Amino acid sequence: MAILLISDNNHNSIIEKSVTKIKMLLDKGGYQYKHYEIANKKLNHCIGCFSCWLKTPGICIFNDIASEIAKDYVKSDVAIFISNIRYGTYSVPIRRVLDRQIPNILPFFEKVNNEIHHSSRYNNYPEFVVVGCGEDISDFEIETFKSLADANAINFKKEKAFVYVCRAVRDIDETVQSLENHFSQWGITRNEKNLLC
Amino acid sequence: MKKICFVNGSPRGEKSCSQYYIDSVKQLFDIEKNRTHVIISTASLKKKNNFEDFKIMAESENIIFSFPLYIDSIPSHFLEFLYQFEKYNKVSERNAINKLPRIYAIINNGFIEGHQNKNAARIMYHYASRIGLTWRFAIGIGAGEFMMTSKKNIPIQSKMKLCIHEAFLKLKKDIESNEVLCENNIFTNPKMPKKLFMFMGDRHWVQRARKNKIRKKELYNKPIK
Ligand SMILES: Cc1cc2nc3c(=O)[nH]c(=O)nc-3n(C[C@H](O)[C@H](O)[C@H](O)COP(=O)(O)O)c2cc1C
Repeated sequence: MAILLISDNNHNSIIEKSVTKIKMLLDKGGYQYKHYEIANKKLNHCIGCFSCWLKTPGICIFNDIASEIAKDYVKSDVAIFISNIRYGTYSVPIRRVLDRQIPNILPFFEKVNNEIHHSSRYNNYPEFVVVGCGEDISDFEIETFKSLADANAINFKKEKAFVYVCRAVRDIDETVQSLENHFSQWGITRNEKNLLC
Repeated sequence: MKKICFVNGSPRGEKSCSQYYIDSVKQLFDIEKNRTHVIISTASLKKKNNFEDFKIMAESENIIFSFPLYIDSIPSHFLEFLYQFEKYNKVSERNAINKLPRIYAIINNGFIEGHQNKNAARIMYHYASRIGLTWRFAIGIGAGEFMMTSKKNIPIQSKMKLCIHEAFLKLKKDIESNEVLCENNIFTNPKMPKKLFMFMGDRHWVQRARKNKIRKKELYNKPIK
């Protein structure tokens, strides 16, 4: 699967419009994608038991949408998370999904940029793309959010994150355009066959 | 007398490094002269009505949030707890006027570098600012699993861990003083070479897995095809 789209559309009209417009882009271009809308879905939070490393390596003890997403994550080329931004971090459901990604990495350590991180369990990981939305976000919160997303990308075995912030509806078109421009860089191509149907 | 409320934000509850740090800080205070209270966020979230917990928090002069770093941020259940407290706090006028309680955070992470807690420390700063309470500072401490498993053999005042003990003393002093003593976040970790940390860490996982009858080779399994 080329693109994995995960949204928590439960906060404001900017998120809703972002999800709609990004899906329009993907549908129109015939891009192969899978969308998870996680607002109001039952998602277990990580309980820090480390079973996914030490008892059933690579598999979480919970079986819910977050574990489905973790499975699809390592099969994708690009993962796009759409979240509101509050206190400079993601929404609770998106954070649940991120915490539940640790089965996809190993307990063992390696050095990245002279810092310690976990090693990869799989050979490939998707590009880590984040669209952060909200009307009332300060510049400092955005700075924190970007720094956080970059740190996440490193833990998810990528050099950096691609972060878009939509504080108003007018920012969405620019985000969608920029996403499309990046698709070829990320190795995502239009699926002509899909276009014909 | 100071009223201090500790909030444990680890999903592991009382069996966590977060709790170990709460206990370490709590014992620095004279129990005759101060009043301390500990809230476990997982237990609080399970209650039908956790307003009692929020009331205790809101009426304290100091709240110390102690939690683990999860994917460079705040564990999701604990974020939910923070949302709930914000909601509660909006109703409480008293806090809006005197901007109390003062907010501190002790953040512990798995990797050795304490500074990897920097984003979470900022998130807690934004949180305190948003809910209109006084932000003081965060202490970010690395090597959490090591700190917890070695707590009996290598006490916190030993040379290797002294910097953590000293950070806790700064926190204590700041709480006891009515002045602003410490302006900046403190990021620290036990003193050991990174190579040694990696070697010991990797061995630690293999040993723990062996107890579950999982061999080292199996830890590398790739169940997703
Ligand atoms: C889901 C999950 C995500 C984690 N993410 C990070 C991380 O981003 N950086 C880090 O240094 N440690 C990370 N850790 C390790 C914990 O911070 C570490 O084990 C901590 O000491 C646990 O503290 P506690 O016992 O208070 O829960 C993570 C652990 C879990 C379970």
